[in-house]
Amino acid sequence: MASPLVSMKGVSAGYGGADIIRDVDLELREGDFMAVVGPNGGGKTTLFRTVLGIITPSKGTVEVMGTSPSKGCREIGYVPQFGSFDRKYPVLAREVVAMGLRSRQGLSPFSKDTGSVEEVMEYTGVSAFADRRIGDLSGGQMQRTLLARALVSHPKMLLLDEPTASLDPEMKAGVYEILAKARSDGVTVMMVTHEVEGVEDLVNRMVRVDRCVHEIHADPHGMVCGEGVL
Amino acid sequence: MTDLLGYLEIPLIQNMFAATVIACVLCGVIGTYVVVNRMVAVTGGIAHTTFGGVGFAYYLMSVFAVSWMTPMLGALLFSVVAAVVMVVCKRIDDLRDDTVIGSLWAVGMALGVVFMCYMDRSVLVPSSYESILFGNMLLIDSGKLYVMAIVSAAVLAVTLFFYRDLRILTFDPVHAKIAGINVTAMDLLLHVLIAVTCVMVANVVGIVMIMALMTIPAAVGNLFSKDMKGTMLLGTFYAVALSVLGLFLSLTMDTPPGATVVIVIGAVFVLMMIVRKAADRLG
Repeated sequence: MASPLVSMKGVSAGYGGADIIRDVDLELREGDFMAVVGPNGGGKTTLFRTVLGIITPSKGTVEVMGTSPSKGCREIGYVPQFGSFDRKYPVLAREVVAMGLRSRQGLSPFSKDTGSVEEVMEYTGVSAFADRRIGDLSGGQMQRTLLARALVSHPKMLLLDEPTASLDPEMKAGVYEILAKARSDGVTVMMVTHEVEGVEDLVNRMVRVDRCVHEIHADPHGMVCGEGVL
Repeated sequence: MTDLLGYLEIPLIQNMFAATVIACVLCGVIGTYVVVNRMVAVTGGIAHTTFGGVGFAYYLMSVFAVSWMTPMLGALLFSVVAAVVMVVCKRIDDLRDDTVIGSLWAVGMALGVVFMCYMDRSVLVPSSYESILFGNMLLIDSGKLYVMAIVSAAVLAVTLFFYRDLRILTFDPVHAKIAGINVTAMDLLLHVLIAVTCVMVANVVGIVMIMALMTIPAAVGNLFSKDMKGTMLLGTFYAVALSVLGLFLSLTMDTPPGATVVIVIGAVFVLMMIVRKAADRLG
């Protein structure tokens, strides 16, 4: 059996000496599409940040792609929460997508791979607004751009932190369509979400994070993860 | 007009124009990072710390006859130390950024005052507190101009080399870390680049008015450009064009050149904002 892409054993982590997640055991295997649900403040983002090596656990071990999170995370495409950027930043959608190549390019500032950028922009539908400044993009276009940035380096795994929060149903459908394509191309996905409506067919595992992580052994079909349901 | 062109034959006036252009190019490029990354307060803190360095240099020169020390070198030393302290303090959870900035700002100025109090004041002539704080472009000799040109070329070369990583860092630090960029080292580099730029610009407009050149041209560039390179180019063009205009006005009206440049740059910025708002309303 292939080793898991993410392996957490007895992990506790948080900020400023206070643990937000405690004694977490979790494995993410190749081909999984894991929905991560749970209440606000329960530690979903902390869990992600620990996997990405941004937070060092106070206890336990984390392995990503069989190595430390800081090395393994280069094989991960990350899509942060909507609204975590300064929309006045002078950068085009095309340039944001190209930033995703940095993990493959190394220190040399002169390496370019415009082919990959054009290809992924076509794949995600970013080409139509590639030369617009990010401040001029709608929420759905911004999320597509961030997905394209995450996918441009052909990662083994995608980590998405509420990628459809504050999007209207049509925009959500657009994001889910890209995720479905990525999954069919063999990309493993771990996604924080408040609802699984629209991705029921993609999700094969679901965990609830509320300080600890509990695997939910239920069919995600028709299950809306919200207050009182889980 | 003939009188104005006649001024340009005077070497000190030529130096004044050349130094201004060098400072403006630096401000157009480094100022863009300051503006888009909301580092205006950081720049203010570093800029005012240079006063301590100038005082320290004069103190060493007058009391201990340290011949290799110059005010510019002292300012560089203090501003780079301030930049390093700011980056290190960011990693201490209990300290807020603005507390560190404010402390360095005030302590740097205070050190400058104390050092100058103990020095042999004759060394300060023909300079003065006023020229350090508000600039005196007529004190820029050829030697200082060459140092400015070399240091500025080095700053621009380093910025060009790390342009991509600095942009990723300032746009999305989390992505920068995941992508394998050494975020702490890159943040330190950005602070040091700002520190060195502050010292170069202080030669032209003085310590107090550094922030005008570091922020307004880039802010104008950001108003009318879609991307970072456009912002840098437009900001540089704006800074050079209006600074040269400001220098000519100062020669005509016999006003202090640094202050005149800052007033011209600021006044046209207000006009640009009005133009931009009007253009937005008209669709």
